[in-house]
Formats: sequence, structure tokens, C-alpha cells
Amino acid sequence: MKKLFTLIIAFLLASPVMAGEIRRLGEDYRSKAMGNTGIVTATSATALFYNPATLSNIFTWWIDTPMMELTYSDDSKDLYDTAKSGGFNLETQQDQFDFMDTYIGKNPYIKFTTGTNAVVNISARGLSIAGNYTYEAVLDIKVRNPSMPEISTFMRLDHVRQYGISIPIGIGQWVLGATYKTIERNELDFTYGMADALEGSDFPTLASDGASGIGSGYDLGFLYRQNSASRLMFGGVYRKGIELGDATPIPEEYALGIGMVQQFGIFRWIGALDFRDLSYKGASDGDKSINRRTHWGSELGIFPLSKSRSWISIRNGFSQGNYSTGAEISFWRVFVIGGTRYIEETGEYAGQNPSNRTVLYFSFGF
Amino acid sequence: MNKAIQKIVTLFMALTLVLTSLSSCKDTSATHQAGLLETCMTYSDQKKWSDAVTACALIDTDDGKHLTAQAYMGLAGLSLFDVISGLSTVDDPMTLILDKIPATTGKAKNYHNALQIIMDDITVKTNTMYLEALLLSSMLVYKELSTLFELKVKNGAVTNCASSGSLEDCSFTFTVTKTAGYASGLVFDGLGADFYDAICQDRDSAISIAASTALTHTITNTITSLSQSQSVSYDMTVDSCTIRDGSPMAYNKLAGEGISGFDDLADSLSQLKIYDEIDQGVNFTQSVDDLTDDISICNTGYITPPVSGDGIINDCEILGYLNPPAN
Repeated sequence: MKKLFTLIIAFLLASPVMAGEIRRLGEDYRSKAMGNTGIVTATSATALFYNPATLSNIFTWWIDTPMMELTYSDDSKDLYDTAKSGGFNLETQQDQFDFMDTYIGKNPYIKFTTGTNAVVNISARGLSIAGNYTYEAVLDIKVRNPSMPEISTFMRLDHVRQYGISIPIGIGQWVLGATYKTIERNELDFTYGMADALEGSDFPTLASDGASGIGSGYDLGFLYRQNSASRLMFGGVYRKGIELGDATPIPEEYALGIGMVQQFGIFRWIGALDFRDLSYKGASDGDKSINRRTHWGSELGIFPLSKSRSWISIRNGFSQGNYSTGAEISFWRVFVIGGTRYIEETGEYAGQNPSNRTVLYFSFGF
Repeated sequence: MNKAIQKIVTLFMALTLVLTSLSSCKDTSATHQAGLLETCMTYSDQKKWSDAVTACALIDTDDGKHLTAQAYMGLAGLSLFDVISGLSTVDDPMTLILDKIPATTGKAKNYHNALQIIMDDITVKTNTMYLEALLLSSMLVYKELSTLFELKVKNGAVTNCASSGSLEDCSFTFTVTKTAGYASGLVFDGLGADFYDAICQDRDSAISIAASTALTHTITNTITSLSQSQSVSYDMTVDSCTIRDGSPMAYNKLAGEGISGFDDLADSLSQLKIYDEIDQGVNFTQSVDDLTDDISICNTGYITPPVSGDGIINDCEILGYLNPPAN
């Protein structure tokens, strides 16, 4: 892990995607395992990222500190091996050629998220408040075009501070939610080709070529909860676009979701279906694919610990046409460990350019 | 009311799940420009060159055209990455260049397709594109030169049929006819129209100049070793071509003029600028055993000697490139 960090830092300091992947903040291991759903089924501080109204799904209070999550693509194993064997540099032309030769056609991706979450339920009707501080670092490299290789590098460091509240209306069948967030972003997005290497162009660095910005915005959401045994839910969220100076802005987004919760003895099943990016601003111009915006998944909880957490959880789902699965063991809030295997769509339509990824999560809390 | 909503939502979820399951939630093709570009790039990454050519051709931008050109190169088995990284490190670029010349007509056609797209279709050309064009065009010319001159790599050095200093090992050598031991005639049939068709794309209007005349030479009798002045008849055919737009030579000229930078490739670039190397107006001269003075195929008054940079190439110039006269 330490060497992996060293590698990321090496890219930041010494040297160093791309359209296709719809990048959002705060997509966690649980949501990813459930096909990147959460508009009505988020049950943790992730609600602040998905739909603040779903804070009403929480019926207790806790603090996660620290929360740590590592996401990596299968191709990043090569980066790890390189790091283990002493790392690499991209200073000379030959170094750059060697790197292109080794990684051509590969997509090493590493994301590290850490932070602190605090969630407090005030009223069983759905009045909850939450806040979190999240630090998210992404390194996404693609070496493409075997004819004249290009290293496309996307690197982003985000600091997110956000606060949210869910407010029940009446008995709590309808819930409104709001999040206010401040995001500080540093990023570097470039393509360095073989021609650049031949012409002796400097390899871009975050320090000299990066973009940065800070901005604030809000999310507004609602949730309807059916007062029945099946506990059907539907909800939606509006995410205001946030300008971030020179860095890539966060696009405006509308999303809708439906879901249900079924309880069978020691089992609890949650089903979810979300339609996200209905504003069509998260992807490339002209991308109107509904499959790209369809997410569905389920969670089977065994031995429920509370209304929002089970001792063991098994999950699966489909996101943008790609299958996902995951599991979690939860020792109340004291220690949570989870893992997810999912496929991220990095192409321009559902099923075009899948990237196999793994998420490892653990948190301590109380 | 609640039951009605519950039924509607349940029905909607079930219907959506069935539909998305049936369709696997996947799309089958791109519907927007970025999607078309991604399809093209994905095929390229996978080295599915034939599919890449088809996919990239749908993108009507310079980027798309460039990728189409690169896909044609891939289809021909040419890895620019190997060539260029090799050129920047090897001491003898000619060995590498000869190793990459297209081996078949089909591959040469793909080289030419790529060249045509880069030089004719792309609106704004980058330095890299000029480098690619220079490589492709020079290799197409080297392909013909290689066939004609039997270029070979031996022990790291490039040899040709005239490496010994004369053309006698070449298929197009001079023929000396003799009468009573004295040279009485010189015959040269030319390099052939096919060569010029390929490099100048002058297939329909290949210019062939034939001259039959007699010049006086000092001749030494090979039997008696006595010398005397004697008229020697010439029967020379000189093929030539005017470089046409769209030909490898024309592209090579334009790419050579357009390229700049690439200091690390300076040695290699001079070898790739094959037009500059050939159209230098060097007139070929050849010594013939029986004749005291060297002979030139192109003689003023009979066959016009080559002129530097005139866009016309003939046998005298080609042979002069192959076996330049000693200073």
C-alpha cells in the first residue's frame, strides 16, 4: 500500500481519462456492488452523495473514523508490480517508450478514498443530519493506439466537505433532503504521445500543468416510502452543477430511483432501480443511451443488526450493462469490512469498453 | 391509493427488470461522435485493423482520419511505434527502414492509402503526421529501389548490385558490342517503366526517350592493346517520369518540406527524405573497360542530363543516386 501511494505521488510530482467514464464523487463499495444504485436505497453517509432524503433510511447514529476505500482495476496490478520492483520514472525518452511498450492497451486505475462520516437520526419519522469529510484521489491511465502510443492520464484530488439533512413531511411517508457541499479540486488531464516524447516535450506534472478550483453547491432530494410490508420507495434528486475554477466542473444531474425492502426472518432483501444522469450532462455530447443511465441491484442482508445494516450482506447488480457483486461483514459500527467486484463502463456506450475493478473497504467507528 | 401506487411501482420495476435483462442493458453500437471515435480507438487498441479502418472512416474529423490512416498502417503490419522508437536508437537506420518496406502489393496499397489520407484528406497536419508520411512514402520508394537494385543488408551494412563500383552485377548493366576486338557499340535498355510507375504514379504517361547516335571515343584494342579513335554507336533508352501529385515521390517531397523538429531523428530523417536524395541532378557516368573516357548516358544534345529539383527523375539521376560519381 505504501508503495502504491509512492507511485501515485511519483506521478503527481515527477511526471504525471478521459471521456467515457461518468465520474461522480462518493460512489462507494456498497452502491457499486448494487449496480451503482442508491437514489432511494442509500443507508449510510453515502446518502449525502446519492440523495440526501435517504438519510431518513437511517434510524440510529454513528461515526466512521477513519473510513478507507481502495478501488483498483485489474490492469493496475502491473503498476503495483512495477512499484514493488523499485518503481519507474518517465524522465527520458527511452523511459517513456518503455512505459508505452509495457502498458499499451492497458488501463491502470487506482482510487483511494478516506474520510470521516457522522450520521445522527433525530426522529424515527426520518429527521436525520449528517456530515462528512472525504478525500478522494484518482489515478486513471490509459495507454492507447499501438501505432503511435499515447499515455492518457487523468488524475484528480478532491476534498469534499458536506452537510445534509432529511426532513420528514407529516408522518414521514414523504421526505425532503438537502445537502450543501464544498469541493476543492486539483486535477491533471492530459495525453502525452510518442510524438511529444520525440520532440522532447516535458512530461506534464500536476504542479506545472494541473488545474484547480473550489466551489460550492447543493443537492435537493425527495423520497416517498410506502407504508406497507414491502416498503416500496421511490425518490429523486437534483444536483446543482458546481463550477470549480480551472478544474472540471461537476455537471448538473437529475436522477430517479425506485426500490423496495422485504424482510423474511433473518433475511432482508433490498431491491433498487435507478436512472441517473437524466440531464444528459455527465457523458459526452450526443450520448442519449438509456442503458448508460440504468442501474439496478439488490442486497441480501443476513442477521439484520438494525434497520439499515446486517451482520452479513451479499450484493449484486447491473450498472450500464455490466455485472457487479460484493459482500460485507459488519461488526455493528465498530468494524466494517467489505469488498466489491464491478465493471466500470469506460467507453461511450453501455458494454463498449468495460474495466474490471475491485473495491476494498474498511472502517472503524462507534 | 397506496395499493394502487404499490401496484404501479411493482409492475414498473418488474417490467423494467425483464426488459433490461432481455437486452442485457447493453447497447450494440455508438450513436454519437465520441462513441464512434471510441469504437475506432478500441478496435485499434485491440489491433483489429480491418474493423478499425471501417469504424474510423465514419469519423469526419482530422483525428478520425488520422486514426484511419494508422489503421491502414496496422493492416499492413507496420508498427510506427517500433519503427520510430527504433530509428531514435539505432546507429544504422537503413537496416531498419529496409526491414519495414512493404513485402506485398497489398501491403504497399495500404501504405499508400494511409499516405493519401494523411497528405490529402487531413486539413491541419501535425509534425507527427509529416513524420508518418515521410516514413510511408520513403518506404514505398525504397520498396521499388530494393527490387531494382537488390538492396540487401549484410553484416549490418546495406549493399546493392552496384556496390562493387560497376553495374555489371545489376540486371540493367551496359552491353558493349565489339567488332574485331574493338568496342563498336554501347547498349542500355533503361531501368524499365514499372519502377517509375510505382514511384511517380506516372503509369499512363511514362516518358521514354530513346537515342541512337554515334560518338567518337578513344578505344583500346583488348587483343593488341593498341589505341585508336573510333566511332561508337549508342543505343540507349532512358526511362523517366514527372512526379505526379499523389505519388510516393510527391508525398515524400511535401512531407520533407513540412516536417520540422525531431532533432533526435536527424540522421534518419535525411535518409527518409528520398526525394531530396534522388532529384539532385546527379548525372551518372560509367567507365567501360574498352573505352579510355567515361561515358554518360545523358549527354547534352542527345538526352537531356538531369536537373536538380525539377520534379523529373530519369535513369541517369537514379543511377547517379545509386552509384554517385567520385568527386
